[in-house]
Amino acid sequence: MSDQIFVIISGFVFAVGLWWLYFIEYRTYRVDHTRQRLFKIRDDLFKKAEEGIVPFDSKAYGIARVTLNGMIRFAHDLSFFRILIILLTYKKIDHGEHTKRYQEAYTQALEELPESAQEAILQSQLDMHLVLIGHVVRSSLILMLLLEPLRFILLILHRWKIRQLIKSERGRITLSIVDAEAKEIGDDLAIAA
Amino acid sequence: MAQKKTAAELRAELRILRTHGIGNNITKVFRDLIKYGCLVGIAYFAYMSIDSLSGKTTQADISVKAEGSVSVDTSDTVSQASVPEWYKITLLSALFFGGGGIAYGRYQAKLRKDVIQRYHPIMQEAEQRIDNMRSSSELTERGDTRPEDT
Repeated sequence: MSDQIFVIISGFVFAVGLWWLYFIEYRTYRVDHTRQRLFKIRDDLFKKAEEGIVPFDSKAYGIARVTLNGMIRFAHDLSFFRILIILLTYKKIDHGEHTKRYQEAYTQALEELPESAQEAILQSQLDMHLVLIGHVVRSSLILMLLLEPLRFILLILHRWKIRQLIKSERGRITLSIVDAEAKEIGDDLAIAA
Repeated sequence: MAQKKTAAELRAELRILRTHGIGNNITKVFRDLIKYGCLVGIAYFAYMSIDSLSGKTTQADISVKAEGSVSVDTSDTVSQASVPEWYKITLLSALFFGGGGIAYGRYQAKLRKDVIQRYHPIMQEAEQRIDNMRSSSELTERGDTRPEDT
């Protein structure tokens, strides 16, 4: 009797331990990890501006930095479900006009810059999108179990095209829906500060 | 970023921030349902195990006693049902190392956050000197989520 109770209690403790490990420790770690990677992207961009590649007072630099700030601030809220809500609701707000304005402003701001500066900004945006996707996939147990082996297989087969997919015009536009919301938060922070 | 915006733009921004808030709340409810639902599930299965065990063990005790009256070999029957020593030791070691690992990870994270807190003002000042329009993510000084955001 006492042995069986021991097994049940130890099983319970292990199950709660796993629950704690995933829902508390792992999730906290993932948010911290994502934030550190976003901070690194922001720092790299700052360094490029310091080196004179991107002007500090350019509109594109401002948008990129503010978007990164918003992404850092709401990293703890980023999840597959949250991204799904953003993608489903963005058309309800202003019929998607806001996102279009964001895309146009960003494109216009980029065109004002020399090619090297454009590359630096676009690289930071691509890195940010890769971090965002990595975070969303690895924060969800189901997505991680489904997609990580697939990624591994694709990596072995040398057909790893996700980077190209995200870098493509279509990928960039789709993800800029999330960027527009992140920028809005970043703008809000800048006004509050 | 401090440029004048039209009333329509400001209204759209307000709608975005409001939708962001609503979206966040829906996600939080959904996330908490999964999170605490799992905990309730674990507690339910533990309860069911104890509940089902209590009845079955009583029956087993009786059968052992009944068998004991006929056969001398009852001790073997009882020992087969008991948990081996190695299992208990393995289990306790796993708990010790698992718990220790979590504590170690937490301590490392604390040390990292201590460093962030120490160097944050220095970094901020240095960056401000280069770019006086520098914007911030407004996380806490330790790089944590702001309490009002959770």
